Amino acid sequence: MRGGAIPIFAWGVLLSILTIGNAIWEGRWIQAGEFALAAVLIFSFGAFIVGLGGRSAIRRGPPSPSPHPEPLPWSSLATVAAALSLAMLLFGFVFGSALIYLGAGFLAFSLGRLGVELRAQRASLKRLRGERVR
Amino acid sequence: MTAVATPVERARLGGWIGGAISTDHKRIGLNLGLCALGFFLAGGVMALWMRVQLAQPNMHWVSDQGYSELFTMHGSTMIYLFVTPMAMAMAVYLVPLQIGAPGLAGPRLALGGFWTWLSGGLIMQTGWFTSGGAGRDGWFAYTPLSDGRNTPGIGMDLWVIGVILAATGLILVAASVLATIARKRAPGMSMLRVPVFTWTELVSVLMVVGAFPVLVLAMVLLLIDRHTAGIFTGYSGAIDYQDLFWFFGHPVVYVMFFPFLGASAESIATNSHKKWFGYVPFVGSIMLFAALSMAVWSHHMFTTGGVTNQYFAFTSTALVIPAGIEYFDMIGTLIGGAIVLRTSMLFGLGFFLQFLVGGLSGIFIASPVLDYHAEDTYMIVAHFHYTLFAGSVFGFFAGAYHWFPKVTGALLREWLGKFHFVLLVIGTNMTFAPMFFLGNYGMPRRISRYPDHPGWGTLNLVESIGAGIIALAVLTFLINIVVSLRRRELAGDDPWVGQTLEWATTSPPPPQNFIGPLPPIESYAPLLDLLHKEQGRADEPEEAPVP
Repeated sequence: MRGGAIPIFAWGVLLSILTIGNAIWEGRWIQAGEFALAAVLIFSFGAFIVGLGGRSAIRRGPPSPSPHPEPLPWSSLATVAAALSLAMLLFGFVFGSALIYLGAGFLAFSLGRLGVELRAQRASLKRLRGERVR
Repeated sequence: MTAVATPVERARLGGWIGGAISTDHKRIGLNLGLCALGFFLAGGVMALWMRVQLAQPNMHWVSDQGYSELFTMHGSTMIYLFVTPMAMAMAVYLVPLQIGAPGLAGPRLALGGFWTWLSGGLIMQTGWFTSGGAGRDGWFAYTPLSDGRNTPGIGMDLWVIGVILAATGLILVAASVLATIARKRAPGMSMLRVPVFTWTELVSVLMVVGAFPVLVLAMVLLLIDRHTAGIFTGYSGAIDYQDLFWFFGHPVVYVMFFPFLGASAESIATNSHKKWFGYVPFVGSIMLFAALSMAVWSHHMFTTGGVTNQYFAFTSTALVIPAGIEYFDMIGTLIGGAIVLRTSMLFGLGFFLQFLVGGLSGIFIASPVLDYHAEDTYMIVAHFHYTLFAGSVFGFFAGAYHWFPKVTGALLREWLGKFHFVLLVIGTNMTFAPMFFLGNYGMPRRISRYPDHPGWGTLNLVESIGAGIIALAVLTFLINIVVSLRRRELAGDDPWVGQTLEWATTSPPPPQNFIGPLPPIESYAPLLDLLHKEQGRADEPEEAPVP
C-alpha cells in the first residue's frame, strides 16, 4: 500500500534522534537500551510493511485500487483458544503447575489449528485467483 | 480491492459464541469497548470507596491495607483496563471505516489481543478474592516494595500476570490497527488525506508498539524477582525498575490522550461545519508530540537522584509546543464556523478546556525545582486526574455521543446528554480542583487517613461530594444509553452532516462496511468535499450548511 510505511519510518527517525540525545545527555545504558529497543521495534514494523507492499510503501501519494483480492475472515475459534491458553499457562504460575502443562498443551493445539485456518484461507484466495491449489 | 470470505464463513455462528469469536472489526471493537466500560464502572466504585474513606479526617471505613489495594486496583483498572483499551476499541471499530477499508489487517491479531487483554483484566481482579488481598503497590509496583519479601501473597502475583497479559493483548490490537492504516486505505486516501481521528490513533498505536513491550519485560522481570530475587537489587535495581516502568508509564498517558483528542477534534469540526483547521501542522505536531512523550519519562523520577533532571525537564517543557499547535487549530476551527452546541460538541470543548488545567499544571511540575515541592502530594493527583479524567474521559464522551448513532443506528437523547455534561463538569471540578490546594498545603497522596488540619476536612468533603456527582453523571449516561436503545429515534446514515467516510455507509455498517463505491477521496474530509461539489460551492471549501 502506497506510503503506508512513511509515518512509521518518520517516527522511528524521531525516536532515534531522541535516543541519541538521551544517550549523550543521560549516559545510562538502561535508558539508551529502552529507547533503542523501541526504535528497533518501530523500524522492524516499517520494514515488515515494506516487505509486504514493496517499494510503494515508502512512496508518497494516494494508493491505487489493488487488483488482488484480500481475505476477510469472519471468525477464528483457534485464535480465541490460543489467547485463553496463554492466560491459563500464566495463571498456572500462581495456581499450580498442572495449569501450566494444560495451558501449554492447549496453546500448541490452538496454534496448530490456527495454521490450518490460515492454510484454508490461502487456498480460498488461490482458488479465487484461478491458481492451482495443492 | 475485493474482500474475500474464507471457508470459515460457511460455518458462521450467531449469538454470543459467534460474537465472541468473530473477526469482524466492529464486533471486536464493541466487545473491547463494552468490557472496558465494565471495568470503568468497577474502577469508579473503587474510587467512590476511597472518597468515602477520605471524606473526613481519621475515618476507619477501610483498613490501611484495604486502602492500598483500592488505590492500586483503581489506578490499574482505569489505566490498563479502561482508558487505553477504550482508545484501542475506538480504533478497532472506527479506523477501518474512516479509511474506507472492508476490515482490519490481521483481524486475528486483534481478536487474540482482545481475549488476552480480557483474561489479564479478569486475572488481575481475581486478586480481590485471595486471602492476602489484591495487588497493593500502586499501578506502578515499585521495587523493592513489590518484591516477594515486602508484598508476599498471590494477589500481587495475579496483578503482575494480569498486567503482562493485558499489555500483550493491547500490543496485538495496536499492531493490527497500525497494519490496517499502513495497508488498507481506500484508493485515493494518501497519508495526508487520512482523517484527524485516524492520525491520532496512528500515533497512539506507534507508541503502544514501541513502549508496551518494555512494560511486559519489566513485569516478567518483576515476577521472576518476586520468586527468585536478585534482579532489582539495591538502589540501582530500584532505579532501573523505575526506568523500565516509566518508559512505558509516561507514553501510556499520551496513548490515553491522543485518540480522545482526535474524537474531540472530529466532533468540533463536524459541529462547526468546517474542516479541521491546520491539518498538516496538526499531523506534524502529534508526531512530534508522540516522539517527545517517549522522552520525558524520568520526570517521574526527578526526586530519586538517579536521573539527569535537566534533560527530562527540557523535553517535558518542550511538549508545550505541539500542544499549543493543537489548541491553535481548535480555535481556528471554531472561528467562522456555523457552530451547533450538540452534546458531542460540548464534550469536545470540555475536553480541551479541562485538559488545559492538567496541561498547564504539567508545565509547573516539569520544573524539577517546583516538582520537589509538589512530589508525592495531592498536587500530582490533581494534575494527572485533570489530564486523564477531565481530559481523556471528556474526549471519550465526545466520541461516544458523536459515533453512537453510527454504531447503533439510534440517537442518544440530547437533553440527557447535556444534563450528563453539566453534572460531569461540576463533579470533575469539585473533585479535582481542591486537590491542588491540599497538595500545596502538603497533604501526601496514598494515605488512608489524615490528621484534622485546618481546612483539610472541608476540602476533602467537597471532593467526596464531587465524586458522588461524577457517579451521578455516569449513571445519567448509562440511563441515556438504555432509554435511547429501548425507544429508538432512528439516526439515519449521517445525522450530523459528517465529514469522513464512516458517515457514507449505513448505521450500523454492514459486514463488509461499504455497499457500493466510495465517494471520491480528495482530502481528509471527503464527504464535506462531496457536499460542496453537489451544491456547486467547490470554490468555498470551508463551510457546510447547518442541517
